[in-house]
Amino acid sequence: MFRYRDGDVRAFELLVTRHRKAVYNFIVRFVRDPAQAEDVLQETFLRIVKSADAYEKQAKFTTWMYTIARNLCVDASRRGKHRKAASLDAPVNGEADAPALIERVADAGATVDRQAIGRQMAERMQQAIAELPDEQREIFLLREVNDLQFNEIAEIVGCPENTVKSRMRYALEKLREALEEYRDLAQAAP
Amino acid sequence: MTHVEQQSACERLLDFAYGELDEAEAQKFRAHLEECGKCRAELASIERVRGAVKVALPALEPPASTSGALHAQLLHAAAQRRPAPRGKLLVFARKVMQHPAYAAAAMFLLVGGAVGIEWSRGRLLMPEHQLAQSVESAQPAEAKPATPEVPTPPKEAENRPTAASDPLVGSAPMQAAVPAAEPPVGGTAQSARGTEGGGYLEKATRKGDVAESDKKSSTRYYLGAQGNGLPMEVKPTPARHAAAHRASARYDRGGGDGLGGLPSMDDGRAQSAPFATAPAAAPAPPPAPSTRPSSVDGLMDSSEGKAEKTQLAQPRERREAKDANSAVAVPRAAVATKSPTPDSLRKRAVEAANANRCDEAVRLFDELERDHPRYHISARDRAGYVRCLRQSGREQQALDELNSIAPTTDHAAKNHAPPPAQRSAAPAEPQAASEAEPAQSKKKSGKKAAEPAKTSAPSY
Repeated sequence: MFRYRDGDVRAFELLVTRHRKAVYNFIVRFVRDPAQAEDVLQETFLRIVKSADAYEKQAKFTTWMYTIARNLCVDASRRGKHRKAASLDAPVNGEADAPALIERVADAGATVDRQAIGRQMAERMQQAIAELPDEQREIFLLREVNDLQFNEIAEIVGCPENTVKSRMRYALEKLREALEEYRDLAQAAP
Repeated sequence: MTHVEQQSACERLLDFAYGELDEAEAQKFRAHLEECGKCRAELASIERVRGAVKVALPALEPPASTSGALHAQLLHAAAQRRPAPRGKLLVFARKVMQHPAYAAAAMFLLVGGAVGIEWSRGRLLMPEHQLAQSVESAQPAEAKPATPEVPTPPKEAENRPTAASDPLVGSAPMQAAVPAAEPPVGGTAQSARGTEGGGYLEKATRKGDVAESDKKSSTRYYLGAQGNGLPMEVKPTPARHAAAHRASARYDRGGGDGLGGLPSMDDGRAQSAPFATAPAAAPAPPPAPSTRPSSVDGLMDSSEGKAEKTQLAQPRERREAKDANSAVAVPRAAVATKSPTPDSLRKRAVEAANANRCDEAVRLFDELERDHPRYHISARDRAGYVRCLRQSGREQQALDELNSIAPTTDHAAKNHAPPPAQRSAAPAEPQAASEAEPAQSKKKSGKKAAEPAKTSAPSY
């Protein structure tokens, strides 16, 4: 980031290449709309370009970047509060015969039954994550999807670390409850 | 392990589950897990959820159809941005250079500020006349020679007619009567001052600079207190030379150095041109009675020096306009408001007479009588006047003065109350008169005047 601030455009290209996928995953799980996620992703990096002169070495670049992305996601979530979120099960890009997002990662070694059970469990988990409150969901996503530490998450969302851990426990508890019903099926599956 | 320690250890379950404990703390927590069944159950639950989340939330790739365009747009926006210069001064300088209006404003401020500063310091004004300064300071034996560093005067002065540049000349017929002649270049500093013109014209030359000034074919005349006090360089046309010498000769006749008996011009450096060397030998008419106050010597008084300073403080344009319009009218006006007091004239005349500067004394007495006909001149002072008249060869005029001493004294006794100093000196007044014309003085001055005449011997 410092290289780009000093005028090295190649450094910015490297930043985009390195962080684009992780930021997109956070955004798309947060706003639950792939099209809106792309806009937010674009806006996130544009904000980074505009704010490059003001960037100081006060925190990790990822923390700064996820702070921008998270704020944009909160704004987008507020704007699309009443808008129906796109399902991860919907065909990608609106094509009828295209696979769903959830099918992009397939367990090649799993049997059909396990794939079916796993598919149902994933759907349920996605539904449970989507039903989490925003303050719990963002912490859960940042921790699970983007693998940020709790202190970094606390810095991003602007609350104490203990609050972050507390919210994380609440989110895990709800997800555990959603997962209970599939535990027997998963154990019974070959 | 106490309950408190166990509770604090259970609180670290989340950190242990997500691998945020260092190795030592992780080892301790593993030991705690062996003892705490609740933490073991919860840890298993968390691991199940995390496993399910990994399946439910696989890593997604941004859509390839739009990623290329987005990537290009981002790189374009990044390339458009220019790195900000470091330092506030550089930022300001860049802003100024990027906007022509800023650059013009900065240039205007720069030039305007410089001119304003120079103006406030007075450097844009022409310097004051150095001779006026030296006379004002009233330091004897410091007749400064004109310095060659005097700036070039405005061009209007060069185009000025000769009569205008020389207010001493007076009328045009007088100019025509005096033949043109080259100015004398001998001497250290020559001053010429016009009584009638109410001003003086000083031509300054130096011994060593004579040849050089001849090479340059340029002579500097300094228009002094009668004008604006500014030095003025005049090209040496024959008419100008003649005017300068007319003025010089006139004052040489009147008093010598042209500075009215000022002690500053009594030293060897500043001497008037000898009367015999003045080329303008044409007989000048006697000083015509002028309606304007013409005693220029009074211009050298300190009060008049201040007035001259005030005049110099005027804007340059105004002074130049005065020069261009009328070089004579300005001195007249200046002199009209700055005529010397009769007391000062009388004192200087008496001093000149006592110092045997008879030419100057006669000139000053003439001036006093002409400008202040009602002023009382004591008989003693008048005796000095008579003595100087005789030494100057003006016997008839001396005789007339002697005849007028007695009535004047009577008139003074009746109408004027002379100052105590004059009263105390009154018995000695008729001395000269009694010696010069014993019969007449005895008739006119009475007993009081006759008694001291017996004890005092004439000085001439």
